[in-house]
Amino acid sequence: METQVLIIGGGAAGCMMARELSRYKVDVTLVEKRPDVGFGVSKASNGYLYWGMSWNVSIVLKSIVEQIGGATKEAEHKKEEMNRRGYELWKPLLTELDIPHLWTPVMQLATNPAELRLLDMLEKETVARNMPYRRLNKEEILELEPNVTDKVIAGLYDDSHGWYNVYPWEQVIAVAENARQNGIKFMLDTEVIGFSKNGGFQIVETTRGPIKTEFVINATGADAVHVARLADACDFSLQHFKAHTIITDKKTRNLVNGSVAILAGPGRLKSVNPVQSGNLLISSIYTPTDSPHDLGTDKALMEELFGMAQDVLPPLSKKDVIAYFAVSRVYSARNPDEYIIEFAPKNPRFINMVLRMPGFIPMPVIARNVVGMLSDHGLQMTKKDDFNPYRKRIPRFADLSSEERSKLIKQDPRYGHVVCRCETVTEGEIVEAIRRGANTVDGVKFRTRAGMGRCQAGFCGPRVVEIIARELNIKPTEVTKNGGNSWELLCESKELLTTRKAVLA
Amino acid sequence: MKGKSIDVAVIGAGPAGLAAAIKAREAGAGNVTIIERAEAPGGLLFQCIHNGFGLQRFNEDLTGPEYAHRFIEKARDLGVNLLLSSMVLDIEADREMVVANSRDGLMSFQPKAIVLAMGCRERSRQSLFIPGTRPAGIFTAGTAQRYVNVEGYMPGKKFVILGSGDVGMIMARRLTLEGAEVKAVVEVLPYVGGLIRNEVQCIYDFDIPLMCSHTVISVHGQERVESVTVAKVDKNWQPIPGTEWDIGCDTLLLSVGIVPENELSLKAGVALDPFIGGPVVNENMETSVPGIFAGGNVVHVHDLVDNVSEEAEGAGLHAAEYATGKMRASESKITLRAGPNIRYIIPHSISGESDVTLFMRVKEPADKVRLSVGNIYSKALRAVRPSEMLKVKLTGDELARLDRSANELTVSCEQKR
Repeated sequence: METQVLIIGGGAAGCMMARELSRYKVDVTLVEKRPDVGFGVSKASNGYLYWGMSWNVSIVLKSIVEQIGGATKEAEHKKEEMNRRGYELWKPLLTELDIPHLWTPVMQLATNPAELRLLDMLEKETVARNMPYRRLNKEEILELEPNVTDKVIAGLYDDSHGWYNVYPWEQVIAVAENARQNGIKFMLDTEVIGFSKNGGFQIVETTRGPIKTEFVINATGADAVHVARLADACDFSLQHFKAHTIITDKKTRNLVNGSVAILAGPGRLKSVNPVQSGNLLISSIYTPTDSPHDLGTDKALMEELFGMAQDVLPPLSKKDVIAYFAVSRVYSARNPDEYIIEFAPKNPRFINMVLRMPGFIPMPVIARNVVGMLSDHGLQMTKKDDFNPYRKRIPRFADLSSEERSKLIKQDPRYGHVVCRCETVTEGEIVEAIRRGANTVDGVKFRTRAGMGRCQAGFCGPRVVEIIARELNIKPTEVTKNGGNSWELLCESKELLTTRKAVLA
Repeated sequence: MKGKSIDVAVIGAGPAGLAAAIKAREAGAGNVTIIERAEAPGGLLFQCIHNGFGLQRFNEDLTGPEYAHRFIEKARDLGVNLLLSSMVLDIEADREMVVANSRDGLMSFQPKAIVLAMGCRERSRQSLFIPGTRPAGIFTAGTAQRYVNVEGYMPGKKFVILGSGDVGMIMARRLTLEGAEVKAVVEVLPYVGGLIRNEVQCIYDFDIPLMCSHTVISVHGQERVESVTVAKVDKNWQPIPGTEWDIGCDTLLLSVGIVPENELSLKAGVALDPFIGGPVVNENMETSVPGIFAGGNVVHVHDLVDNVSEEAEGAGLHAAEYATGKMRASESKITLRAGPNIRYIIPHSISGESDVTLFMRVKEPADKVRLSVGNIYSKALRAVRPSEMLKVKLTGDELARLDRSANELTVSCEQKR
C-alpha cells in the first residue's frame, strides 16, 4: 500500500499528529503495533493540563534530570514556551473533542525547613514567570484543605489559573477518533520491522506488509530508538525512568478540594490529585531503569509512595488503594530538558518525535510545528474545507441525570443493563466502545471505565469478555486483555480432561 | 418522581435476600419485591456447584444451586416479586429507591422498609500490594469459579492460588478435577484460612501442595502470567530474605478475603462498622437508618450459608413488622463489646428484652476455651478457629440473669485454666 505520510506509533504524539494532519488534503496512515491506541506509555501517564503558578513537576523533575546531565537554558525556555501555548490550545480542544475533565485549584506545601527552601524557590520562579498565586499560612491552608497534615508551615495556592485533570487515554482516544472521522487510516496490530528506500520513497516493512510513503514520523515514544535504528535514522539516545502511581477509592475523593503536593526533593513529589472520575491519584517516585518495558512495580517503593501521600493527607488508608502501576518516562540523554522533534541527520524525510514529560500539554503546539516542517520539506499542504473538529464521547450513564438516563434507555434498552457495578457502566456503553474500535478488555476499560472500580473487574470481567466475543463474533477464548498473548481464558471447561484422556490412551 | 409504594424492598436475590423476602411475606408484608442485578436469582450459590450446603438447616447435603432452588420456589409460592436484571442505582434518606433495567427503564420505589442483602465481594490483588507486572491471568477465586462452573471456560491451566479461603480451596479441587494443575496453595498465616472440612476434602484428599507461612511476593510475565515468586514469611508476615523461589504458572488465583459490599448502604446514609465493613445493626438487624435492615454477608462474611439464611430471616421479619406498623418499640441499649480473643460480634447491640442469636468470630485459633457473654452465658469449647463462626442463642434463662442497669456486655473467649 501507499501513503504520503506514515505515522509510526498510536500514542498521544502519533494520534495528535494524525489529527493535525487530518486538517489537510494529505494521505496519512498511522501504524500501531498494539491492538489499540494509547496502549503504551499514554495509558498510565498522569493526565493533567497545567501551566500556572507551580508547574509543579518542574523543580522536582529538574532535580532528577540534573542527575542525568546538563540541561540548557535554551531547551528549557523552549519547553516552557511550548507548554504555555499548549495549555491555551488544549482548553478549546477539551470542548471540541468532548473530553471529560475536572478543574481544581493547586496547593504546594512545606512541612519543614528543607521543603520551605524549595517552596521559596518555587515562589521566586512563579513571580518571575508572572503567574497568579497566593502565599498561605498554616491557618489559611487548613481552612482550605482541612484534612492535610497539621505539620504544614507554609503554602502556595493557585485557584485562578487552574489545573485540568484529564485521563491521558481518554485524550488519546478522543483525538484518534476525531482523526479517523477526518479520514486518517489507522492500522492497528501492525508492527514496523524494517525500512528500505526506493527512489524518492521510503518502504516501511510491517507485519502486515510493506507501506510505500513519502514521509515517516517516528512517534513511538519509549521505543523511538529501536524504530529509528531500523531506519538508520537514530542520532539520539534515551534515558528511561519509571514512576510508581497509586489510585485510591472514590470514597477518598472528599478528603481534598484540589491538588495538594509537597515538593520533597530529587525525584520525589508527594502529590495527591483528585481526578475527574472521583478517585485520588497519588504520584510519584522516579527510579531509573534500563528498559522502557520494565514496568513491574516494587513493593518497597509502593509502600514508600503511599507513606509520602499520607505525609500530605494523613487520613488516607491503605485499605483505600484500588490500583497501582508504574509508568515509563523518557528523557533525551544528550539534553534532558529537550523535546526531540527533528529530521533524522541522514534522512530529510524521517522525523523523530520524542517527547519528555510533560508531553501531553505541548502536543497541539508540537503537532503544528511538525506540519510546518513537512510543508517546508516539500509536502503540499492544502486545507480541507470539510474538516470536522468535533467528536462526541460515549454517553456515560453514571454521570447523567434521571431524565437523560430514561431517554437513553428508551433509545437503546442496553443502557438499562448495568454491567460494571462499581462504576455503573452499562452494556450500551460497552457495545458502543466496541463499535468505536475497542477489541480487548483494556480497550473497553479505557473507553468506558468498566473494571476500573474498587473490585477491579472481579464482577464484570466475565461479562465484558462475553460481550466482546459476541459483538466481534469471536470465541471468548480469543479475547485478550490487551493484545498479543494476553488471553483472558485458556480453553473450554473439560478440554484439559479430553487432552489428558488422549494422552493416557 | 414519586416512587411506587411497596411494603418491603429487598436488595439482592442471593441466599440472604431470598430468606429475608420469604420471612417478610410470612410475617404479613403485602408487597415484597426483590431487586436483583443478575438475570437469575440465587446469587453466588448459582456458581457453587459443590456440595455441603444445608447441613444445618435441612439436614441434607445439597449443592449451592439446590439450596438456592428451595428458597426460590418458596419465594415464588408466597408471591414474592422478583425484579431481575435490575440495578438499584440510589437510595435516598427517606428510603426512595431508583432502579434501572432494560425493560422498564428508570423506576422509582417508595418502600416502607428495606432489607439490604447485597452480599460481599472478593478482595483484589490491589488491596495486597502484590508487586510485579500486570499481565492477564490474575483472577479472584470467585471470578474463576464463575468462568469454570457457569461460563464453561478455563481461565488457566497451571495455577498458583494465593490465600486459603474457602473459595480458594474449593477452586483448588475444582480445577484439579477439570484436569488443570494446581502447583500450590500459598497461605501467609501459619494455618488455613477456611473451614477444616475444606482443608481436608479439597487440599489433602487431592494431594495439593499447601504452603502455610508463605506468600507471593512478585508476579512475572508481560502479556500472560509466566511465574510468581513465593517466599516464606516471618511471624509479622514479612518475607524472609533468601527463602524466595519461582513457581512457573499461567494463572494466579486470589482467595485473600471477602468484604461486605456496602456502596448502596453508604448512599442511604447507613453507618458502617469500620472494622467489619458492614452496617452497624441492633438485635432486629436494623441499621442506623430507621426502616433499613440488613442481613447476610452484607453485614459480615459468613462461612455457612445456613447462618446467612437464619440471620437474614431476622432482617426480613423485622422489616415486615416495621412496614406493617407492628414493630415492638424496643431499645437496643446494651452494647456488645469484644473481649479477649473476640474479633467482632453481630448484632452490635441488644435490648435484653427478647431472645437473640449472637454471631461472632475469634481472633486466633485456640484449644480448650471458655466462651462467655458477661456473666449470663458461659460454655466450654474444645477448639475455636477464626474461620469458624460461633453462634450463641440468648433466651429467657440467660436474659433473666441480665443486670438491667448495664449498658454493655463483654463477650470473651479465654483459655481455661
